[in-house]
Amino acid sequence: MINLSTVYSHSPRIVARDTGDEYVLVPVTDNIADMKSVYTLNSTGAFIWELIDGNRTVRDIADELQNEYDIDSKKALADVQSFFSDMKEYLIIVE
Amino acid sequence: MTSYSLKIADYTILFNGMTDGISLNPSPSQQSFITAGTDFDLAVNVFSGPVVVREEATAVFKAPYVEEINGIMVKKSDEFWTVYRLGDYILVRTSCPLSVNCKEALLVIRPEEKSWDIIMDSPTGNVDPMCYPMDGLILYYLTALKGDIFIHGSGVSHKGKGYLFTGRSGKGKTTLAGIFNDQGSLVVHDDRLILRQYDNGVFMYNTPVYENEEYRKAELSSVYIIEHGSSNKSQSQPPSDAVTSIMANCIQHHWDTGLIGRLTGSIITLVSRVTVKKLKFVPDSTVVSYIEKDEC
Repeated sequence: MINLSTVYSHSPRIVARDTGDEYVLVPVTDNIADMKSVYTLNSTGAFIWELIDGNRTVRDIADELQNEYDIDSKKALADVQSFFSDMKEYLIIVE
Repeated sequence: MTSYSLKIADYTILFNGMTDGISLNPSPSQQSFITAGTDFDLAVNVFSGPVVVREEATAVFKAPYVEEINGIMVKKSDEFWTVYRLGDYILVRTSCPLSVNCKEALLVIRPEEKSWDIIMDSPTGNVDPMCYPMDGLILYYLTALKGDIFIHGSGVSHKGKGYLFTGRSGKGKTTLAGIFNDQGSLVVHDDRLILRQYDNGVFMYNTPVYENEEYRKAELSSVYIIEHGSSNKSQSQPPSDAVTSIMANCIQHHWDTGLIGRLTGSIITLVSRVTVKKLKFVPDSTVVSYIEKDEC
């Protein structure tokens, strides 16, 4: 479960590139056999990604998502927690 | 000979034998890439001797030795080549499984310089500095550091347009090259290509792979991410999907954030300059007329 007061940063072992309103995320690896994963973020994911800065808490980011997309607080929190859960699992973000 | 130059993808690579008695013997696949002249983009100093990696070097990336047997990729060994970092230098130590005269080699890359070294462990001193896999390693690091794209794919020039077909092994790259060849099109290559982006266009180039291969290039119009299908059908891709599809088929070493960032940036630029589509195709001549109409 993602704690709302936790502050996350982008992993230093991820290279992110903006393709317009989306992002491509490429992990750094040490073996050619592991080079299978490249991730993409849609525009909502890209919005959250740009807010992950080592200062904002998960709740801060949910609040900004709520304002940007004009959604209710419960949905914003659920979306952001789900996003952070995936990002953490794939080692794309670190505490 | 003790010195020769290759022109590959409009880069001139000069090989110089540095050790007394060393003889450089380029393979038949390189013959038509040999060029005259003294100007070069990269000089590679070739030494004969034992391969030693200094203890201070840090291993950052490695590749197992994988061989395709009856269409199945089989890992023959965990150790094929390994990339090391030593200060600003990149070192690549590799075995040379297909070479009779060289057991092992070390490529010393000085990324900021036009002069690199190869040390080849050869009892005879009679060496091919572009023996497998050194050819791919030199071309990968040369092009990656310059911001080019080295990609698995087949490239054809057909009625004034250049098409790149890329996809994983078995998806039909060679099949499509053969179909276009039968239609009289120029096949730039059916396996791997270098893409270079200039102000006046994007160009694809072949590299020495097969015997008696000629130097070829063509301007690129469209990239197709291919797979076999029950009918011919193309579909445009959103930019980020196009980037990841192309990246998945690039020759790449993802150990360095700078190299990853440069390649990703180059692919994003490519996607903004040429059409990228998914293509399901039937392996016969109907795909040629389908693509001709698709391009209109």
